[in-house]
Amino acid sequence: MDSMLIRFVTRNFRFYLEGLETALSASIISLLFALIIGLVVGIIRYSHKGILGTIAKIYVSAIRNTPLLVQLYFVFFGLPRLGIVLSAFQTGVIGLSFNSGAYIAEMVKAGFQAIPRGQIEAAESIGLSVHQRFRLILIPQAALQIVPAVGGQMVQLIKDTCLLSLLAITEITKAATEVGNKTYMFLQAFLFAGIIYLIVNMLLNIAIDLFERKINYAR
Amino acid sequence: MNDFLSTSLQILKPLLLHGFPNTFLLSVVPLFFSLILGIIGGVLGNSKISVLRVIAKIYVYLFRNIPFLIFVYVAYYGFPYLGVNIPPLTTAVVALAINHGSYMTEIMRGGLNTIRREQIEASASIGLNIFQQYSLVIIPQTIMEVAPSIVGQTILLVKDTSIISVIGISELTRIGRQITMLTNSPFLVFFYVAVFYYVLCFLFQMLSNWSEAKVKKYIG
Amino acid sequence: MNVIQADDVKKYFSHAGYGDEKVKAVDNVSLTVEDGEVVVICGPSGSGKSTFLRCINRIEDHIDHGDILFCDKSIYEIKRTELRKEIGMVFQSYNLFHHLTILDNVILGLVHVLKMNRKEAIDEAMVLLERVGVHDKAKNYPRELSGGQQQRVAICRSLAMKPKLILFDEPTSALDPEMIKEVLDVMRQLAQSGMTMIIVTHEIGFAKEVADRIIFFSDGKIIEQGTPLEIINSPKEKRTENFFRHVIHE
Repeated sequence: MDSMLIRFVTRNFRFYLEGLETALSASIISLLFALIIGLVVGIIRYSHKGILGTIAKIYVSAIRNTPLLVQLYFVFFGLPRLGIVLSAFQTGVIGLSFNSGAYIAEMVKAGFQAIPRGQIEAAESIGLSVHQRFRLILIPQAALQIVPAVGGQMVQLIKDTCLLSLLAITEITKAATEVGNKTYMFLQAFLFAGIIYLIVNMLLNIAIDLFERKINYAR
Repeated sequence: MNDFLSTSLQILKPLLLHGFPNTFLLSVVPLFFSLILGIIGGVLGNSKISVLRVIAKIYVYLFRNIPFLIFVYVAYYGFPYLGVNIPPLTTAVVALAINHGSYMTEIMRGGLNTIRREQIEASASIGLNIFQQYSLVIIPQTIMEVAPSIVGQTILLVKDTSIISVIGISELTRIGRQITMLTNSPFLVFFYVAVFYYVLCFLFQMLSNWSEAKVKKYIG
Repeated sequence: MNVIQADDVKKYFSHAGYGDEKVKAVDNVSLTVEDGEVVVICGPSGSGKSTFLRCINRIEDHIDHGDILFCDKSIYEIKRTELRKEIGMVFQSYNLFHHLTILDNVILGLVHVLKMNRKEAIDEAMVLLERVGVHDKAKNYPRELSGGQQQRVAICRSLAMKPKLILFDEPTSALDPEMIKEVLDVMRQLAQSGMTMIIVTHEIGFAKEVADRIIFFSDGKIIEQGTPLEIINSPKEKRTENFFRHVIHE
């Protein structure tokens, strides 16, 4: 039994490795886009400006109250209809970006809201413009709370890449499916995939903890 | 316009009649079992015996770091491997319950921590044994206190039901996909699917807010 | 036979930050309480009186030395749930179960520990609630009652178990002044009906009136004990005299 497992791993590892590569690149690219989206939407949500604020609110609400899979299908099947033809990978990244973007937007908003009113009043009283207030006071202070939360979203994003397998993208889970189809050892294939996710996220968690500790030390 | 209406009706009928009720049931039944797991896990997680605490911690850690879909596959292929032959629906309910049991564990663990020592002492002082203390005082109080969080958690459950569409369970997402192959408007189909999910999540959010107000009124 | 007999009880707490040094919360306490006696324990804060009281019904379940006997049997040889059927406790912050109605609070012990049937339990509970004057609040939740009312319900909760002895841990210390009287009245009635009571309190006036014996605690030790007249008017120890002189304003 044990030697069978070892053979299983050594023969099929390269599939998983390719899948891991795809999953990681999808996560990182999506995270970058999500950060941009999240920052913009989050700041809009925080300053509640009229129509823009309402659109932002609807966007976030729609994402948070519907499943990621449905959002992915929406983009995957819908975009070609609009004449936009992209690769599956690109479509997947778009879906993940908009999904994580909404959650990050809420974290950004919360981070800003956590800043005591006194800080803002002090900034106003020494004559800083809105732009300066944001750059010099609000963003640095909000970052302290936002960064750890975003770390958590990164872990979530790695888990989310799993759904890309249903869009025929060869990431970890799809690799497992293919290995399963090849060897008929489905259970082992998916267990191995689970272990990969676990290890990746464990490392990510450790990195986030170290980073958080560094931030708190600087406080 | 007529086209739009007729297509919409074509889409809405199966979603409303089969998708929505199935998704609703698939949310509520596992919720019940995940709560039970959460109570057990929460009690273990606060236990004085460190082995039990570790078990609870591992349980939570696993499901927090491994995607749910992987677990669905593992359950789907794992049960037959162990000689347990159950229909996919049962596998789905079990997978959902165990996965969300880990979230409930965290909620219950936090809630149990906040039960004041004095309530426990009072229940001991009238002669209740440990089991009675937990079942009559500690756990009811904890559930009332964390009820809003639990109901809020259900929203995640609702969204995860979409994932079990991969093992052939007929719920909103799967029916949605089937309809897109029949009609030619994926946008509309998934828009309506999204609306159904939104409504369901919204209902649970309202329920969560209501329970929070109710608890505040009676318990303070 | 004494209801309670404490022999040379010592209890230490190891104080974090003081290294190995242990704080003697209860230091060499020996006392007896007879059937029907009302014993009041007084003393400065931190003198160990509450800790000692909580040892009697094993809420504080560990002592480092000595023994406590209940009706000539060591409390550590009696099953805790059995012990607590006989010894009731009333807490400083009442500790009513806030998720249950007043009525349910009182019948909880009757139904689940004494295994009475619910209807009989309700009948008994209502009699008790009437006795202390809160029967009209039976269906309310603790949160809706005043502190004084809650404490009276707490007394009912203990009384319902028909104990041989009731322990009172500073029962009026958390109450607003205008509500102290109503609780003391109930306790006075209880004493007159022959209940054995051990009361930790700062209410010296009450003690003077109701106690058969006052015990003065300080630094975990019993400094002096005697009848109210003896202790308050002719204390033997300087510390006793100081304490009561500062506390009495009546």
